[in-house]
Amino acid sequence: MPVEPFEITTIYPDGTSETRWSTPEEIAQREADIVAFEDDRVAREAAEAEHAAKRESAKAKLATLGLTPDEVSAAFGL
Amino acid sequence: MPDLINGLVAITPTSVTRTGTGSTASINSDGSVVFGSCNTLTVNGVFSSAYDNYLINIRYLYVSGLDYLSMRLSSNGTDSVSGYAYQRFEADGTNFVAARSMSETSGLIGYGSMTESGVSVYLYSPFLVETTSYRSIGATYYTGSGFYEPIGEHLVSSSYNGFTLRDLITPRTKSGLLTVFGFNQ
Repeated sequence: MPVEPFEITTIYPDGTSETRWSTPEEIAQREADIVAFEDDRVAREAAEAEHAAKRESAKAKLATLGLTPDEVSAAFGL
Repeated sequence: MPDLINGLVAITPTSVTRTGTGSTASINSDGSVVFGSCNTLTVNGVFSSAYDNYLINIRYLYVSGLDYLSMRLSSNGTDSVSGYAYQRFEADGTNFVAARSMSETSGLIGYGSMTESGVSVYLYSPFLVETTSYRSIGATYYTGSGFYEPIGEHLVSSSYNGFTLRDLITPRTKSGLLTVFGFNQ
């Protein structure tokens, strides 16, 4: 995804400041960050879905052993 | 900066750099930095040969949503964007998560929401030409109280004099106040 140039402002202790436009390197880094954000999001959601599926599978198996939902929650935090 | 006082010494940044539409930032006379609606905030000139180890205290909240707060070490305003690794513990109600991440582009330091959150980052040897380690202790409130404790390393043997705060999942705007302290040993 192309990133538009963005403003970068530096502030000093005396309150003065300087504003400049992002360099091509900074724009490229932001584009790389966006790709990384998306990769991380997909990986995180996949891991969370897998974890949730395992929890539900475990709860179902424990129920077949005769444990009530309250007992499963108390004993295993599920 | 009183050199003869043992313990924590507040450090005034040489400058701070912000990004984000409508963002604000300023350096208070006591060295603390107040920031508003920033996508990223780079704190420059706080690590030096004066101290080996540092404490960064941050209170912050997201303008919208919730996200993991992360940090990049920087040298004269240029971020280091590789070589981060971390392990985190999260406790959110009865849910407990332990996870490890390697070869990351930033180091996880906390978890924030639209309710004021806090994080204290103990940072070891950022200015020395060695790898840098950190331990972060955070508290946040989303559906309830939760604690989030990452530890990590920056596995690059370089010297850094500042750091950048950013987000891990998506760029967000955040506001708060931070102070950097050096451990005067």
